Amino acid sequence: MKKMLTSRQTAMLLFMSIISLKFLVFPALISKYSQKDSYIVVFLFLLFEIMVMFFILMFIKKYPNLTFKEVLSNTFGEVFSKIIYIVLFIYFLFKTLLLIKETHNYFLEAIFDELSWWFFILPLTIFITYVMTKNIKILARTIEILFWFLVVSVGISFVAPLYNIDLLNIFPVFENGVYPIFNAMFYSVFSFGDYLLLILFMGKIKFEKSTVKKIMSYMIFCLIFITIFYIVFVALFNNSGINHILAISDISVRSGYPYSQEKLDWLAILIWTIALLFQIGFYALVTKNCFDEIIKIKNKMIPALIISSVLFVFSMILYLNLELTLKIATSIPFIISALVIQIAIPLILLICFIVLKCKKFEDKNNANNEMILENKNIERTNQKNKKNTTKKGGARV
Amino acid sequence: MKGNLKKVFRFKTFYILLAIALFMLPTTLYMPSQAQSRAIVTAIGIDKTEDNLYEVTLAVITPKSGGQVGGGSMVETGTGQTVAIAMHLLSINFGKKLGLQHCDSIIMSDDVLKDDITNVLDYFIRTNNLTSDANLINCPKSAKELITQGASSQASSVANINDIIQYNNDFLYSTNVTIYEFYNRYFSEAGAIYMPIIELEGEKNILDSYDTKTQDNEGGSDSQSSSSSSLSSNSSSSNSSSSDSESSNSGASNSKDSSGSTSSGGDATNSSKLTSNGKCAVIKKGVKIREISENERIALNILSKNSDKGIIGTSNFTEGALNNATIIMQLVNKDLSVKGYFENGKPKIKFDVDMIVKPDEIIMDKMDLDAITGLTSFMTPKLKQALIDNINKCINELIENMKTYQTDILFVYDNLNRFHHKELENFLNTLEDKSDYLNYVDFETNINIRGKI
Repeated sequence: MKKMLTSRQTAMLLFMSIISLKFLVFPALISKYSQKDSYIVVFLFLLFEIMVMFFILMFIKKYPNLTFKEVLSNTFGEVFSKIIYIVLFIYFLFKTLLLIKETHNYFLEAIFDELSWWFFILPLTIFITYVMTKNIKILARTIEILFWFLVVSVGISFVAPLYNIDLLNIFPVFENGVYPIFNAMFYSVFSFGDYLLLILFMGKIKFEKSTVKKIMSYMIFCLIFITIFYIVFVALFNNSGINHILAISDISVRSGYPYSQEKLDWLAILIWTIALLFQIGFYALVTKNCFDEIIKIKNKMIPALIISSVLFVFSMILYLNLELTLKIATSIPFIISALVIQIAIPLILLICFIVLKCKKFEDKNNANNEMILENKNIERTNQKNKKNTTKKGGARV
Repeated sequence: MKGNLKKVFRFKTFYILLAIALFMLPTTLYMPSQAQSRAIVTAIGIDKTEDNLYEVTLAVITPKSGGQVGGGSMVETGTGQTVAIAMHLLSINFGKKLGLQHCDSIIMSDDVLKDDITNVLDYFIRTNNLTSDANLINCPKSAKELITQGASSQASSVANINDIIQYNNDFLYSTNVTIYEFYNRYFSEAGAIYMPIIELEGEKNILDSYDTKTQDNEGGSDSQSSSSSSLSSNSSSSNSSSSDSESSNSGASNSKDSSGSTSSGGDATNSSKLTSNGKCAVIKKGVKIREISENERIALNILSKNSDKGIIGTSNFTEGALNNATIIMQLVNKDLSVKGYFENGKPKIKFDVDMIVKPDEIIMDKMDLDAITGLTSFMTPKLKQALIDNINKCINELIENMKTYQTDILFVYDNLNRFHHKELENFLNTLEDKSDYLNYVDFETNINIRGKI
């Protein structure tokens, strides 16, 4: 079964992955470089992401049955495709690791007074291992149920203080010129690039006429959602934004109304905890899918155990230290590597697109589609016939 | 039954849940009750001793296991070279970890506000403990006395203090200053903010009803508790202040140890109360500059965006049925627009205020029948002018003081900076002393008053 995800499920998964790293530490990190222009940084980045996503969707529209692996193998060969998947595996592994650390920090600061590392990491490792043995469609169905509940709750926790905030605090725009914006974009590059997920979903999306429209509308909603969050963050914390490494919680608490707004803190804590755990599971599963494309192991548990062990060991090496993890994420070699991956992969896809077009792969692909449909129809009729014969047989008995 | 169990055992999820439960259950059972190891701080008072040490007073609720808040409110004081040291010693002397999540007020005395308070607040922005939006309050004399009084009153201290602050913020001048609000202003170019003042009025010596421990931290040594007997458990019992507790505490309460840490003493009378009177202190770059006068408060009330309650008045007014009358008008509604702009390179700020008022009180030597009518708002052009003149007088006083003390509490800089950043930058570059920009700003106020019955 190649086609697994509906367009709605794909859009929701992308939405959750986009917001995953952006509501806790990154607002503070971005405001370190761009201060009041943080929301512009996020807006520009997300706009770029949406544009890339549109291009990827156009590619998927053209070749709806081809997975990224098949595209790479057809264009560059098996070895190159494995190299790309190794790179993607490392990329998503570190993203999962960063998310684990952010979650640990969030639990430590917002929920628990004391939280020993093993009390956090051991149950989480069991959880991650379990999620990795599951199919992406199970996660997609889960998010389909939770999505609006999560989005509305998260939205309330940062929109509710709006009436108490002077939104004019976001001005002046470009106070220190354009340089801080690009500087912030450079240092926060790792929290972006979620269009890579869409590339990995290639060939797994049930492509319909409205798919592009649906996914793009969700992404535009995501752009607005995150931009509003950053506008609220800047308007509320202004110059002291750098101090707020738990942005989503801090917004719901520190809004100037000690009694009425403080009650919303539980909402952010409860909802964001669910969202974080889901996001960790999702990223871990994507990492595992990349691993599967590198080494084929029939038993689902073995790659899951390997990846969770790697995550466990890395978490221990980093000693669940957010500062160290962020130092790595904002170090120049790491940023350049992330940037290269984020730019190179869509470019490779573009090259593939051109090459496949030159090879007139489209016809083959369409022919394949027709063949698959025909086979499916034959299978269905066969199954129906079988059912009918068994029913009739049963009646005779 | 067996069939159902077999079905359950087939699910992988069951084993995952079992593994997590097996891991979590013993560790959770082994954990000591957090309620017994926490002291919940509801308010913090910070004073400075003669030896330049920080004296930190905490209003604390000690919960008991099982979710009961059985310990009642207590007041504890500790001194230290820094706030962190004092808090650490307090924690040691409590034998509990301090939980600041429910702390809504940080009260600082004038002695503390003499120096940049960022050094005092640094501990609070770094601790992950303080998650609430703690208000900063100035108590000119002693924060310790204010905390003690607050804890002794029937309602909890935080409720009392915060009610005052909240009302002030919602309806008068937006004086609600949280730690982060303070930092926002501190790091802005203007750097000035006004902070609410709460004082004790009347007889104060309520401290005796509490067993306030004193601590000595000099040289990092353990604190010296002058009395370790149990504290009065709640407000009502503390107010009654039995003679036993008085006598047992008198030594401590009147003592002053060699390290300079003190606890106050005196007679056990409790006729003091918390008062604000709408007072506020002007803080610039973390230092208290002055207190705002009554006239300035009226001006702030009118020029503050949030405020929609207040009174304005005029005296010796004679017209029609009103003869040498003192007229108090209540503010019913207000529409304020503030516009900062540049004209020929000169900064200007324009306040347009449209107010709707209604008669609140008319006092005359001899009351006229026509003067008690509810059919008119008495808003004649003459009365309107008299009220506007009074308001302008207050606003002028506020602006003059702002210019004299270079304290931009009307946020002129922010108004100009938001939409005229480049022009402001050019203008500031022409000044010798950039912080003196207020002296070059033209203020314009257009006030319109309409009457309502």
